[in-house]
Amino acid sequence: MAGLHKSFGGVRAVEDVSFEVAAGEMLALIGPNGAGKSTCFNMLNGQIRPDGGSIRLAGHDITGQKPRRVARQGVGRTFQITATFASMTVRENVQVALLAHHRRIWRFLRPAGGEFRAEAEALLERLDLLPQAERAAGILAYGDLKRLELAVALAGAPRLLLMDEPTAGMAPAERVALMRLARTLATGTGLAILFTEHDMDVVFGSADRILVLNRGVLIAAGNADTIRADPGVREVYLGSGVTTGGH
Amino acid sequence: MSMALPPCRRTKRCGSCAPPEPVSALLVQLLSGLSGASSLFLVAAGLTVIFGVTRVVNFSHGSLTMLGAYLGWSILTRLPRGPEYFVLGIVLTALATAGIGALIEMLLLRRIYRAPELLQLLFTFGIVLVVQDAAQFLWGPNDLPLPRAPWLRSFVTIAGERVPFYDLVLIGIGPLVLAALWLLFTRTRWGTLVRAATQDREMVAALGVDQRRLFTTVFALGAGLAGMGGALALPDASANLQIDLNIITDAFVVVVVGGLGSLPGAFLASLLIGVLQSFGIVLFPQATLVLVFVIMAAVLVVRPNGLLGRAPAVARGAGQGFAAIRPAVPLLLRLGAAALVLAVLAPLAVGPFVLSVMTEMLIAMLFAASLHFMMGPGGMASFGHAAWFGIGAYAAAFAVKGLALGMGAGLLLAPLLAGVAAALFGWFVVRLSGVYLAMLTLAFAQIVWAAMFQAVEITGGDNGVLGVWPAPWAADRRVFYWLVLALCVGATLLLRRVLYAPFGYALRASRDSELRAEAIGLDTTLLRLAAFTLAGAAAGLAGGLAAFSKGSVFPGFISISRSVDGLLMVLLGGVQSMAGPVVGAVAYTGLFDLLLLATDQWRAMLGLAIIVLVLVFPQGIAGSIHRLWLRGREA
Ligand SMILES: Nc1ncnc2c1ncn2[C@@H]1O[C@H](COP(=O)(O)OP(=O)(O)O)[C@@H](O)[C@H]1O
Ligand SMILES: [Mg+2]
Repeated sequence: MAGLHKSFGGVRAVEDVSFEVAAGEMLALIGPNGAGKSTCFNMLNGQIRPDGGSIRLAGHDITGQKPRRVARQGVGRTFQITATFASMTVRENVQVALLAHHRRIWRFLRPAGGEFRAEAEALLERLDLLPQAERAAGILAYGDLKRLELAVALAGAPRLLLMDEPTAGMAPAERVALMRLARTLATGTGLAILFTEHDMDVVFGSADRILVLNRGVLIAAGNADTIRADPGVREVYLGSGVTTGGH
Repeated sequence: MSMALPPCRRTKRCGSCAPPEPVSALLVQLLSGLSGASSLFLVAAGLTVIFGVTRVVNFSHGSLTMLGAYLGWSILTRLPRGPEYFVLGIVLTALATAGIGALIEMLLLRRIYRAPELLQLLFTFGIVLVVQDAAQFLWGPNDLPLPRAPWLRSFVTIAGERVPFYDLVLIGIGPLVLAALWLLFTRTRWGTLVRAATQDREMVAALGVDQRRLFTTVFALGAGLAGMGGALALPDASANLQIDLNIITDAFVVVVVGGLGSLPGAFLASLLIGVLQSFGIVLFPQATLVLVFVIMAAVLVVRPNGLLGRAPAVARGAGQGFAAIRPAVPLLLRLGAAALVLAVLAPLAVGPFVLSVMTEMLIAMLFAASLHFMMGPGGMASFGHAAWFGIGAYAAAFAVKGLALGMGAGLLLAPLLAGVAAALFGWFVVRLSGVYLAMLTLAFAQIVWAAMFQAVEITGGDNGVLGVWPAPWAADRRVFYWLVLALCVGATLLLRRVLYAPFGYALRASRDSELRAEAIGLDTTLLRLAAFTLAGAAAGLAGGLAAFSKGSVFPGFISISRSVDGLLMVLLGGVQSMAGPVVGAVAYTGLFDLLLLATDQWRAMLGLAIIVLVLVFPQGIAGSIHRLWLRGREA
C-alpha cells in the first residue's frame, strides 16, 4: 500500500502510510491505542474506503473494493473485537467459511452438515479447537473465540492474513503457540501475515519486521533490534504509559 | 382466521372539480396537496419525535390520531360554530390526546423500553386493537362527518380559481407548527435535553436528568401532535374507524422518506407525499399508492437513511444473542411423525367444521413457517408478510377466473407471482434492518393492499373475487384437505431442508455477523434477497391454498392484522426452532377461532392478550421459557 490516508471528521486517523508485505513474511504493526492500526486494517480489506492512496495485492489495484471482493482475492482477517457466527457451532463456523471459499453457498437442498467436514476438523485440530467443535460459538471463552476467528479466516486459504490483536485475552503459553502456528503457516505456505499486537514479547519474538505507527504516522520500521534502539519509539511508548512487555 | 379489519383508504376530496383551465387547475391541486400535507406532517412529526427519544416505533400513533378525530368531533359539535371556537376545540383536542398519550406512556410503554424492538412494535399494535374496539364502543361503527360551519365552506379566489379557505388555513399551519417545534427544541432547556437524548440516551442518563419525565413529556407532545392532526383533518373527511391504520402507513412512509428522527425531514417528506397524492388522484386515479411507493423507493435508493436522516448507530444483528438452531431432538421428531399420522387420518373421524379448522391451521402453519424463515434465520422481521399471502391468493383467483385455467395452474402461479413480487420489493427491503425494515415491509403490504383494492376491474375491489373453487377432483372436502396437508407439510419441510443446506448456513451466518460474513466473501445482501423471495413464494402458496379453501379472495387477505397474526404465531412458538412456527400456528388458530366464537370484542381481547403477554414475557414467550429451562437445569 502506498500513501494511504484516512480522516474521520477532523481527526486524521492515518496519514501517508506506505509499506509492503512479502509472501512468507510476518510483519508487525505496533503503536499506542488510537494510533490508527485498526484503521489501516479496515482500509486494507475494504471495510472503509481510504481518502487517498492505493492498495495493491500481487500487482492488482484493490483500492476501494468491497470486503467481499477483497476476501475473494485472498485476503483473510480477524477483528480486534471478534466477529464470529454466534448461533452456529464452532465446526459450522469453519464449514460455512469453507463453503464460501469454494463457492458452494448457493445450494438449497443438500444438507450442509457433511460438507467439508474433514477439512473443517483438520483446521480446528491445528488450532486446538477440536474438543469444542460442537459447542455454539456464542458461549466460547474469549481466547477460544480469537482462535476460532483465525480458523474461519484461514478457511478462505488467504494469501494475506490480517490479524488485529490476535492474542488478546490469551494465556502466555497460548500466545506462544498461536504465533508459532502463524510462523509455520508463513514459511510453509508462503502466507503473508500482517498483525497488530500489544504484547511486545510476542512482537519481538515472532515478527520479521516491525512498523511503528503513532497518531496515524509511521515513525519507525525495521527488525526487532532497530525498533528497540529507536529513540522515537521509546519516547512514544514510555510517554504514553504503555508497558513494553514483561521486561 | 380472516380477522380483516375493514380497511379503507382515505376518501379525501377527489378530483371532482372539473379542470377547465390546466394551469389554474394545477394550482388548485397543488394547494390541496399542500393542505393535506399539513395534517400528515403533524402526525409524522409526533411519530418521529417519539422515536428519536424513546426508540420505540409507536404503531399506536395512528390510534392517537383517530382518537383526536373522534374527540375533536365530540368537542367541536358541542361548541358554537365560529372560527374562534374551532381553534379552541382543536387545542382542547390536542391537550386531551396529549393526556391520553402521557397515560399510555406511564402505564404501559414505560415497562417495555428494554424489550426487543419487535415485541415493542407488537405491543403497540395490541394498543391499536384495544383502541379500535373502544372507539367503536364509544362512538359507534358509522363515520362521523363534522357539520361544516359557513366559514369552513367558504372559498377564496386565486388566479380565477375558487380555493377552499380551509385549505389555505391548513397550508399555513404546517410551517407554523414546524417553527414552533424548532423554537421549542432549540430555545428551551427541555428541548435541548430532548435533542441530546435523541443523539445519545446514555449520556443524558449520566447527566442525572429525570429520564422518566422526559420520556413522558415527549410522548405527550407526540400524542398531542397526532391528535391535533386527526382533528384538523375533520372538516375534509370524517371521524372513522379506519383512520388509525391509514394514517400510520402514510406517517411511516413520511418518516422513512424524511429520515427517522428528523423533523425537517418529516416536513419535506410530507409535502412531497401530500402533493404527490393530490396530483396522483387526478393523473393516475388507479395508481396513487403505487406512485407513493415509487417515490419512496427512489428516495431510499439515493439516500438509504431518508432525505435528512443519519445512519443508524447500531449495525444489524449487533450484540443480539441468537440461540443456535438445532435439528429437532428425536423425541420431537417422533411427536411430529405421530401428529402427521393423526393429521392424515383425521378426515376419516372428524366432521366438516373441524376439518375446515384443520385446513385453516395447515395454511397458517405454512404462512408462519415462511415468516419464520425470514425472521429467524434471515433476521428480517417483516410487518407486512400478508402481502405475499395476498398476492398468492389473488394470483390463484386470477388464474381460475381471469385466465380460465385450472386449480393446478392457480397453485403454481400463486407462489410464482408472490416470489417475483417479493424479489422486486425485497430489493429495497433487504438493505435495511430493524425498525426501518419493519416499517418498509408494512408500507409495501399496505401498497399491495391498496393496489388490489383500487384495481377493481381485475380484483373486484372491496367485493373481492368470488367462486374460486377447487378442481372437481378435489371438490370433496376431505380430498382438498389432503391436498392442503401434502402441500403445506411438504413446503414447510422443504423450507426446513433449505435451512440446513449450505444456503441456510450462509443465511444464518449473514444474520449473526454481517461483518464476518462479508469478510469471508459472502454476499449478504443477495443471500437475504433470496431468503426474502423464497419466504414470499412459500407465503404465496399458502395464500393460493387459502383462496381455494375459502372459495373467494378479498383485500382483507392482505390486511395488517393478517401480518400481525403471522408474527404472533412465530413469536408464540418461538424463533429458535422450526417447530416453533408450526406449534404457534396451530395454537394461535385454535385460540383465535375459540375467541371468535366466544365474543364480539375479539379485537380488544386479542389486543389485551398481546399487551399482557409482552408485559409478562418481555423477552418473548419462547425466550422466557428457554431461560427458565436453562435456569432449572443449572439448579
Ligand atoms: N469509525 C470511526 N469514526 C471516527 N473515528 C474513528 C473511527 N475509527 C477510528 N477512529 C479514530 O481513528 C483513530 C485511530 O483509531 P484505530 O485505528 O482504531 O487505532 P488503533 O487500532 O491503533 O488503536 C482514533 O483516534 C479513533 O478514535
Ligand atoms: Mg485497534
